[in-house]
Amino acid sequence: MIEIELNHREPRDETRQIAYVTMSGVDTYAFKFQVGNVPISLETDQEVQDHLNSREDEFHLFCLRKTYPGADPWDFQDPEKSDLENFQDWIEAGHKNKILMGEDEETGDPIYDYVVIENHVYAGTHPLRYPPSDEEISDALTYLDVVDKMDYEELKDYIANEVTTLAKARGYMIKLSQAFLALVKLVDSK
Amino acid sequence: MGLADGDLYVSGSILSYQQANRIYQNFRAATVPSALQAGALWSCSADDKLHHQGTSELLEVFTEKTILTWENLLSNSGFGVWSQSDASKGLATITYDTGAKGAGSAPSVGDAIVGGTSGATAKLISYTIASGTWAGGDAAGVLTVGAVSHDFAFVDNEVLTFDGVETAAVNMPDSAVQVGLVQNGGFAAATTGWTAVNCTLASIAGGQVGNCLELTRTGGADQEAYSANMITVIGKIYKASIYVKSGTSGNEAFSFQVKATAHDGSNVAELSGTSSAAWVAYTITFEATTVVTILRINKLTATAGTMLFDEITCYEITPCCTAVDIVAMDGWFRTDTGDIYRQHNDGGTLTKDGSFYSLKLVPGPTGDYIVYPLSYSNAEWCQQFAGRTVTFGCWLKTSKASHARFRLSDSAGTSWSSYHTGGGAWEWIEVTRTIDSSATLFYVRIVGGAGNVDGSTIVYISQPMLIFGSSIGEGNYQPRQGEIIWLEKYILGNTLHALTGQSDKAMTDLNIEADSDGKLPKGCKSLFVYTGVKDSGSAASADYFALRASATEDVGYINSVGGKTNDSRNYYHNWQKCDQNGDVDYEIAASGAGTFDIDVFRYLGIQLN
Repeated sequence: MIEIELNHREPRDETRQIAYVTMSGVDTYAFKFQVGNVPISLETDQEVQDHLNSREDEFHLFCLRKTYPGADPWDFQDPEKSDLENFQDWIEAGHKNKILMGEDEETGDPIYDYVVIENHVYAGTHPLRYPPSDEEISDALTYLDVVDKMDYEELKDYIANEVTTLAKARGYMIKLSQAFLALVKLVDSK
Repeated sequence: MGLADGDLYVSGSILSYQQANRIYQNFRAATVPSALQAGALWSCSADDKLHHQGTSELLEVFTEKTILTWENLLSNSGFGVWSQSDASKGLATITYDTGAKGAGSAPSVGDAIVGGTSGATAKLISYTIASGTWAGGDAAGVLTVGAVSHDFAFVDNEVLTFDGVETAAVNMPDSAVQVGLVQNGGFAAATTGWTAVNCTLASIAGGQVGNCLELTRTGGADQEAYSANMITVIGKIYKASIYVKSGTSGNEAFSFQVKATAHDGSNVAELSGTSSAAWVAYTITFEATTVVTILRINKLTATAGTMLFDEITCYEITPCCTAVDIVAMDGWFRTDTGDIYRQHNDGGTLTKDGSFYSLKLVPGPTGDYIVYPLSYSNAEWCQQFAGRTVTFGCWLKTSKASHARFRLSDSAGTSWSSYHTGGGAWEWIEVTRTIDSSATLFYVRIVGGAGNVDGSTIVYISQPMLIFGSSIGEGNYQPRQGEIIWLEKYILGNTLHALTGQSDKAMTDLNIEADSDGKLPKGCKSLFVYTGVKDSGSAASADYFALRASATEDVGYINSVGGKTNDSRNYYHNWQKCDQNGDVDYEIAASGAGTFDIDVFRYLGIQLN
């Protein structure tokens, strides 16, 4: 079961809008990507969220493909199964592309070889930061008062929790996350 | 310098035809001539071999034959490329009755036919009268039609009008094979010929035309209705169409599939979409891979309720030019009253062995012709022929004597070929002419006389060849090798043009003949393609559209938008090699789900094999 969280949306053209989402449950981490063909007729966040939820399998397959670039599961095309199920079967069978190498000279039977497609970390599609809404800015500013009242231990826990969330969201943020943790440790040692 | 028997040959002299012939007469003998000098050649009439007398009295015998070939000066001589074909390309036969003359007499070749109920259209090629008369209002028989519009189904009892004058009624009950290949695609009164899975089927009012098919879910995650078997010819191109509208289940996902052999067989082609409150037409063009093909409709949800379908058609399609203009296959033109069609290979009956396609010329009531080239009066075309001897030859087939022939014409006059005998078989005919040295025009014209509705005046043309020289010979046709044809009009790809909202797509086969609606032939060597693509997340993602010949070759064509501003379109054109079947594979790498648009996909040129 995957979860799709709508983060932001904006118009694309007369008939479509782009939805920026965070998806989790595909692998051990969450990542962001965008959906470029959401009907413009969906006017509320809830309508868009419902629309995205109805396309869960499509997005799940999309993200699995991104984690296996070059996948060509032409030999996993069971008509009784969905494209997602067939791709999951291909992964479970070792995520290998079946390549036609030639023919047996005596029998004429095809000769195949297999190439393993490596799993790649999929870092998502769009920049982590997008223009925050006025409400998000207001919430952030309001929370400064809360942070200001934290004691040392509460502050340390808060930083560690936020850093962990960032690390799960984008792989390349791990370096930045480690820097923050180092800062926390430095402060802690003082 | 002339030579006589017994003369010594003078080095550097050039022999005339007569002198060469004298040598032939003197040196073609059944026995070895005596006193033969070293280096002599002679042809032995006993063994048909060429003998050479060596310097040391060694004798060598040559048995190899070298066939002289000439360049064919005609472009598109295989009649494969039709970039300006009519949009309506269906072929069909229609059984009719109550044929009446109305204010006319009887339908004529080339008449435009319109279905009074469906609005479907076609052009008349020929017809039979099995009984009755048009004058008596009871003519009955079979119409052979071309340029059939694929959007609508001719239905039983529908009144047909011929050029707005004569009338007849379709006599093809739902229980029989229908116009085209689909039985009861109009659902005028019943659902005969259609089978339900996880649903019930009914013919109800409110269709795109008259009644429509109502599919009501009875169970399952999806529901299905499939057609009766359609008899197809492997390798031929067909177009299937359907109208879809939402029923009580609301706007939902559906798919329209072309299946091989059985309703649960392999997919030959498929399209999917979401139904809407209005009737929307969808079409698929495909190449048949089996002799039995089935159309299958799927309502793809478990939602209770109905979905509606109508005007399901499937016709064999072939490119044609039947409008009142001079447009023809690329490089050629025609009279505006004659209809021409490309004839698909049938093993040597209506096509001639030696070429996959032939040309079918359906002359109108006063006769018609095709001409090569379009630029016949351009100086740069005419001057290359000025004062030169040329020969044109081709295979013709027709069933009427003194009807089909061709000519070579320049500004000084015309040289006509002999007529086809009218015996119905393929006949090779040639004509030679020395073009006027001051010619300001030069063309080839293939002519068919007055057309007859019985089909006897149809002229089939194959393997036309124009050479510099005085003889071609039957069996010596060859097209221009590796010819590149720049299309007179770009062809939009059925599959990829205006394909928006795409996600990643792994390499997928693209059948070029089907994708071009048959306007491009089978077996192309390479394509010149023009695309315009964009992606809503291209600024931060390596997104692209790519082509390759086959799985064993690398990408040869790539239009990349990676790094460009989001949704900024990139245009690119280049050649792409085809595989041995004349097809290519395509791939899409998108930034996200539904983010990639192929706004433009055009064929601009091809290279023939």
